[in-house]
Amino acid sequence: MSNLPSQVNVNEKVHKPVFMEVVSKYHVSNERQAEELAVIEAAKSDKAHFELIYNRYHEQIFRYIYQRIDDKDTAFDVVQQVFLKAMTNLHKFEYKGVPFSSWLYRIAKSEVYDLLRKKQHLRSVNIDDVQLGDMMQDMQEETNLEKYGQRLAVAVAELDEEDLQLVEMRFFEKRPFKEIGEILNITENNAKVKLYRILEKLKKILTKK
Amino acid sequence: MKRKININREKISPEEIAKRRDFGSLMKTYTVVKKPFWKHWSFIAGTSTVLVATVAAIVYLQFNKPQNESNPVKQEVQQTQNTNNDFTYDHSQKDLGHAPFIHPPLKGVDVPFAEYNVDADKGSELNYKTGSKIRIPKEAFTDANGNKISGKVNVRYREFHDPVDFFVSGIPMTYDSSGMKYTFESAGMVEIYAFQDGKILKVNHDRKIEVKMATLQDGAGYNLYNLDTTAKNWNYIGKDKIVHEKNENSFYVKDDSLKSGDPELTKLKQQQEKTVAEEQNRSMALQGEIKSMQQEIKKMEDNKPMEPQKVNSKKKTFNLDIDPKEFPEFSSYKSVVFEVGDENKNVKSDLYTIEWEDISLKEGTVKGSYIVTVTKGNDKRSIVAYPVFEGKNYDQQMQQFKTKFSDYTTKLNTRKELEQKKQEEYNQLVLQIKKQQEEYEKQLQELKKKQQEELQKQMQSMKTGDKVFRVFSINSFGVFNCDSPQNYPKGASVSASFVDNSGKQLSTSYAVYLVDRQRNALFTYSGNPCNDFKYDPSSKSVIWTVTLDNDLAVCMDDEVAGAGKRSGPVNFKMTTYPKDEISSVEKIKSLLKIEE
Repeated sequence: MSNLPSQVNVNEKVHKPVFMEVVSKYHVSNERQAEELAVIEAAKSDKAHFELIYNRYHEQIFRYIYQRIDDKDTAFDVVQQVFLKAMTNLHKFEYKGVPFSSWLYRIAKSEVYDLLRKKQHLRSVNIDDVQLGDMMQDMQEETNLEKYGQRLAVAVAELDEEDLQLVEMRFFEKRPFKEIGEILNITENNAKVKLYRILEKLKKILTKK
Repeated sequence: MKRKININREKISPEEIAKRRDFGSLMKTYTVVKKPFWKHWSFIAGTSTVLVATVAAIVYLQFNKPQNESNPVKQEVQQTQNTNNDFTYDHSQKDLGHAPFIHPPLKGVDVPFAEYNVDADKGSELNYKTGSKIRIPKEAFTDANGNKISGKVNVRYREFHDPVDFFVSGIPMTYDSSGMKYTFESAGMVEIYAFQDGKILKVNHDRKIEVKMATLQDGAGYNLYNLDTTAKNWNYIGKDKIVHEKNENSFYVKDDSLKSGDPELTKLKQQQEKTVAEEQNRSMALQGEIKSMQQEIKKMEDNKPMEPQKVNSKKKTFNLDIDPKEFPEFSSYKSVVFEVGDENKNVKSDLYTIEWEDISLKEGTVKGSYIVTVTKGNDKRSIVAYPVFEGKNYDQQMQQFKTKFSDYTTKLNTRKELEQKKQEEYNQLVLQIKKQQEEYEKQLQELKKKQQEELQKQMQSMKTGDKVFRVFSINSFGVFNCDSPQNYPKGASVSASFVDNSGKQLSTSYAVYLVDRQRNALFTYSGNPCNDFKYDPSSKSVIWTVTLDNDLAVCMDDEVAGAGKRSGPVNFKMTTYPKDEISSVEKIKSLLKIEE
């Protein structure tokens, strides 16, 4: 019944941005997730089992933190702090459809902002040319890095924290919307809409300047 | 928040990251962290000297002063004791290099402890100024090693009931549950410790202490939590019991299902469930009808009468003996001739001369075409052919076709109209369901408002009439909270700057606090500006923070409401009150118009 109103609404194309398809390097298959949950359960009573989880996510969590903090050594310290907190609070983790990795990212996010709040470190925004190019492509803007690259980088760094996080996760960390939603505790569609609005905002900034 | 932009920063290789992976060190830290910090050797070493020096004075003061909770001399004594022994304060933690966890934001302003002397061998019932009672059974205390304590014990107790109490105490009112942060809406919080000879005691697990805390919050939606100062979070420990006290000898446990048991709500829900079920049935039935109509229309369109084609004298034709049961579309055609299609390449001329043993016909891929397959022995050939008519046959067929086509068109249009009507009926139903759902939500909101108003009335009556208590047992000392975790206010999410009267941004290293007057909760935000400041513009709220000079900067309800915006940057104008105007908890409550 392709002509029913509800389906028409779903397929409405008017305001939908065209985002590049992202294949997640962070994706966890169902089998792996089941195995992971079993490990977590075991780690609740014997923390030695947590090593597998630690090894699996150490690099991902580090990169997430280092994206937001400029100092490498501090980033490594924060990673340890994140896993320490995860271990301490492991008994509180209950699988309710959100992967364990998203729980870890939430802790990481909280630790990073704790650190920044204490004003010991500046919030850093790390961008490379490829990421800027991807953004411009999604904004359907002329991919002229020489002309717009610097401006776009500055505009991104001036975004609200929440908006900046979305841009970072999508363009710099190449996460699919589902995962972004899980980490930020919003729906996948909401993440898409928000990002679309951010890109519109950035477009306006670029054309104004 | 200032930011630094790095473009094309040097990448770190996975190998380099892997080198810094150290699970062993993580495990070691975990083991250390698990141990409460006051048991850590550095704590003991660092504080033992001070303890020795103050024990004599403390013991003397504790056992030689009158039992008067509001005695100012006693408050001073308590502060002295807290600095040395009370691990809930950050002063001692700072010395240990720990990040402050409990941090009263105003120097010299806090909710005072009441102190009681209890004979550990006999037990006692302690009365607090709010009407709360603490029932201590005999032999309720042990030392750090679990040995039973005899003799006199000093018990310190205090309560927190409103956002100003929470604020001055510096006790964090956020709750982390599975990585999600909530703010507590409180029905009251207590802090209790016991000491002997300056040493902190433990509760004997076989002799739990009962706290009967007076409260103004009569709701059932509160849980009991205990503050874990090591993990820096609250631990859920269960539910309390709500008790209404009519007089000293008469207790009754109130039915605590006020909200969910509301008969109006039950009726509304039942009605909604019935309507939803009916609408779902109707919607499914309509969808079914539309689907079968669409299938029928498709079938009709697939069997659209074929317009007869005239024979082309330049093309080759042949006759077949057609079984009308197998090919009903030919049933009305007589003398059908098949014309060999142009798509047949290299058709051998003997096709028409061989006497074939078997012949079969099936529909071709092009509409109106057929694949004719002829067989003789091992020789099997297929050609694409089109049915055509000659002379009078064609005229007759054309006449019949016109009649049939007209009939077909009429029937098809009738079906389509009917399907269209059903579709419209379905669209209407969808709209109706949506409206009905909105109406239901509206009714729920109205009911919720009504319930809240009733609750407010109850609370008012409680102030003058019956007393309500929350009763729970404790088997450890510390902070206990009857709370309901809540999300931050909704309605507006702005980038907030907190400025003085001249519009200059205030300097503050403390949190910014918001109280929504409808809720007994203290919401905290960090940073000035605060990029994600959430508040409800439709509710009355007050905002404040502590300046670097230890003054209180306040934005009262009207100013907050005047901001008006739901998004984007907003400046909240703060009025600063100097230290002497905020020198006590009562003064702050009066200034912020937050009274118990």
